[in-house]
Amino acid sequence: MTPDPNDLDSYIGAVRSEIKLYGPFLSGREIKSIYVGGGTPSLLAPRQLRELLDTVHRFLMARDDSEVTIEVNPESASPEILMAMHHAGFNRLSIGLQSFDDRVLTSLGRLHDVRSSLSAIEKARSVGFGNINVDIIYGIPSQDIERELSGIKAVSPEHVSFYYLAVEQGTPLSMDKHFKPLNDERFEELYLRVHDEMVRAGYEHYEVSNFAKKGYRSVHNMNYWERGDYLGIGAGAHGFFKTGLPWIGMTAQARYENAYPPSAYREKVFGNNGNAAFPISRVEVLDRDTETLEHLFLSIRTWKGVDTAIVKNRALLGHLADDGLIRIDNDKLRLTVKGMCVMDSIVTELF
Amino acid sequence: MDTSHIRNFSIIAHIDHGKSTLADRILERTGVLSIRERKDQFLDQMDLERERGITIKASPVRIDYRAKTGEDFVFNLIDTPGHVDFSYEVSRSLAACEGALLVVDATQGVEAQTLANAYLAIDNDLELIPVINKIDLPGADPGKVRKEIEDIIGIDASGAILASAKEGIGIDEILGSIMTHIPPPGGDPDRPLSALLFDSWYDSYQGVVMVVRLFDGHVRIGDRIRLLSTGRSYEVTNLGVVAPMVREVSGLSAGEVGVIIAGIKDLHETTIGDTITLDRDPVSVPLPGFKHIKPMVFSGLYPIENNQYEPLKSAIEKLSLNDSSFTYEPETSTALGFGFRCGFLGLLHKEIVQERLEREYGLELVTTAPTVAYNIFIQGDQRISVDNPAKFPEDRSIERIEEPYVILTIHIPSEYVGAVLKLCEEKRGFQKEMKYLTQSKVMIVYELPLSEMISDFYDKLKSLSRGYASMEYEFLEYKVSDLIKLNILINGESVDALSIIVHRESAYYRGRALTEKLRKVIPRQLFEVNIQAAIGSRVIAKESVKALRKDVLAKCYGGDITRKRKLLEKQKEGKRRMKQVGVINIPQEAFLSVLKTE
Ligand SMILES: Nc1nc2c(ncn2[C@@H]2O[C@H](COP(=O)(O)OP(=O)(O)OP(=O)(O)O)[C@@H](O)[C@H]2O)c(=O)[nH]1
Ligand SMILES: [Mg+2]
Repeated sequence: MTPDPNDLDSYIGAVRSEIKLYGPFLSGREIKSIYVGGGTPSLLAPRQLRELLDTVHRFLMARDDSEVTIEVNPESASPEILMAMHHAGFNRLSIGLQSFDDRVLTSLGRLHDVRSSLSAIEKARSVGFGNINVDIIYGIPSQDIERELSGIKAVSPEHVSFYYLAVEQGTPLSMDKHFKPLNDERFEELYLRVHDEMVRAGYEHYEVSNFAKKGYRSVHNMNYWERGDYLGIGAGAHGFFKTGLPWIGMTAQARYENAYPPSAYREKVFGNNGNAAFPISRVEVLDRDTETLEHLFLSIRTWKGVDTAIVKNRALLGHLADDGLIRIDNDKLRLTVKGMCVMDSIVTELF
Repeated sequence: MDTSHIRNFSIIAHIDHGKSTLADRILERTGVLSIRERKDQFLDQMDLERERGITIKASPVRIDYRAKTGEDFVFNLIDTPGHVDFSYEVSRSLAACEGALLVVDATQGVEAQTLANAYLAIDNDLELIPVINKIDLPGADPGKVRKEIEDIIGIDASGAILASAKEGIGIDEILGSIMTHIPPPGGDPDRPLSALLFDSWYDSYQGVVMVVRLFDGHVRIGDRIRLLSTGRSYEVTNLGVVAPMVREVSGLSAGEVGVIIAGIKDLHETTIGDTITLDRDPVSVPLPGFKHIKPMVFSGLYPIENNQYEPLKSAIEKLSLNDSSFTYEPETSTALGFGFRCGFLGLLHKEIVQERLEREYGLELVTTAPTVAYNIFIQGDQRISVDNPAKFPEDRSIERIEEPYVILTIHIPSEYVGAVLKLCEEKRGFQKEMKYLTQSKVMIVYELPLSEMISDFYDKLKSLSRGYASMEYEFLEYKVSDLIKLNILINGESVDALSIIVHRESAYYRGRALTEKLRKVIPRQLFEVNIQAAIGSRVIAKESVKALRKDVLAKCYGGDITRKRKLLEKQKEGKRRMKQVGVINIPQEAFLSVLKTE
């Protein structure tokens, strides 16, 4: 379904108003990454893309070397739109490629095929994108992981996100009664295989599901995992500030969520009589315990690891190390590749 | 109150024959309940009773009844439970009465508890009024049931009242019959006070509320009463009758049933069955009281969180006031920490106590598989009683072991005899008697080890007889048995709360079944779980649960950290509810799986 262009315009208008609202409150803060995603940003017209980034630069302070990412689906990646994105100031492209196998794409209910993915990457390169991420989904029983790996090596993106299949409502898979998720052993086998091959191909496995060539770790995602502050703009967006949300009178460390759907969001931003208001619909103040848990489960995802000092159940560390699930050096705990497969259990045991 | 206008009676029957429904109709017909207050099984006030559709606690109610002649009477009705585990409630109720309505379902006829409860009443010299209920049902056969009452129980049923509690048929006749057939209580209001404490509950403002039946004398607010067993005395602050809410009165006298509140806060000071008298003019001889009831099955109750021991202790003390039939004493388990070993009258009773503790006191509990109490004789003819397999001595000093046997009476339609006999033999029973009660109804009597009864005997009996069998059992005696202890080891560590006592012949079988069951209920986790069953140091069965290899929420971007964190918190909460043995998490079901392994 294509949204009404007028609706889209008014939505972008709301987003711009929201950005404007934050200006006075964030005057001393510097932005190091911008990410436009969720939904289908490639539906935006070139003008709208420009307006969006212009508004950011006008009211907030972004560094010149900021990582500016936009998501695009292969089927909508026309040369014009890619060109417009690049011109507007986006310097990183995230392509929802999913698989290098048409059968897999069909069973996932995707609208694109491998050919359109390859051509999207080619076009992106030709308009000047030097930093491309592709998303790959794995865990479909009929999928041949070798095919995905050789596909990646052939197009050689700077960054790859490997996501384990989450069966979502409404997709052909969710209706397939014969579909069975991978068993534990098969999962681990695949995961280790992906790790080995990606590392061999020159990628760094810098986070549980992310691989990057040297110098291309995602600045934006690292910020989430390091519990840095971030502003969430738009309907249903999430944000986080360690120093609170003074613009709505809150001083404690908090996460928030914007109103959703877009109609509700727009209504809030524009207000009743033209007075723009923060479209925040939910705020969660974090206590010390929650902060510790977040720190643990987010840091442990990355190559940086976590200080053993925050672990509550320290008696378990030796056992985990003996079984090859974690490594500890200089009081830093890091997951081994085998440990990454059972990360959630490790977190809930340690916390 | 003049005793000639008082009638005290219980309603007794086999489970589900319609006692509580009949009580509803009586309360409505006499105006105790208005139409507005009406709800099915009104006296089953506990949530648990309503959910399960059974009565657990006996409840007394006072009813004002005006006879056709215009004479006013006071009826004290006690609705009782039908399930065999709660027959103690029936005996206590009967001790406060002169008569009972014996309700029999017109489609089911006389069943095991009909007989058992009728005998209890006869033993107490109560006047029985047979009521044949549910005559509205298409399968009702009042003639046949009347004959069963005469042939099986041996009482005259020619005057049995035909009733339908559901449709309100026969209610006036029942009320009239209570007035004319049940004798008024004897007793003299001018003699020294002698009252039986037959139930109690704890009220956080008023302390212990004592439910009593006065046999002689009278009591007024301000009197000092004395509990005969302890000799301690208290000033009466409130008196009341249950109608069905507590209604305050200024005095109670011989023949009446009511409540006494005397500011008793210490839960240990009152004992059900005690005699209450007046401090200034006491009786010296206590009322007969109750046969000390012995629990039959034992199980450990532990808080899930170790710091909940004190709340559990206080909850158990309060609950035991309202349910004097369970016993408790502190125990510790290496696997489960600090808790209590509790004794119950049966499995349903155990379940109910556990659920009441959890609901009424907001606790979360782990329970161990129920066991019986064994007598163990060690060299030198020293006897110890062991109600916890973990305490079973393992050395060679044991000379012999005895286990409790019950005498089990089963009533079944004749076509199921073969299957029932087979079941009883499998469960190590000795047949004592078998007789045709009527042409189609058979009674089978077996001596059977209690330990076999508390696994899944009842479920099996019910299923092989399509629900038609009814049973009743009673402790018989201890008999020598060839028993051994089966230890369960998790990753080499013996888990006390999982050990069981088994008959030597079934040790291998049980060991295999149990390790297999544990393999199924223990989830895959970070470390491999090795499960072994051993007799002494000899391993007789083993299983393993492979280490977890997949547990990762791969996607974590887009800034929605909260959702991911919530999932982890939920997982953590699940683990918190398990018990840790070394590095292994054992779910609660594991501790109960010991019970049902067949
Ligand atoms: N058709 C019909 N059903 C009845 C009649 N009396 C009771 N019942 C039903 O029988 C079931 C059991 O009734 P209760 O009154 O709870 O039986 P009870 O004897 O108090 O049961 P316990 O307290 O558990 O021993 C309920 O579903 C009642 O609705 C009756 O006269 N006719
Ligand atoms: Mg009942």
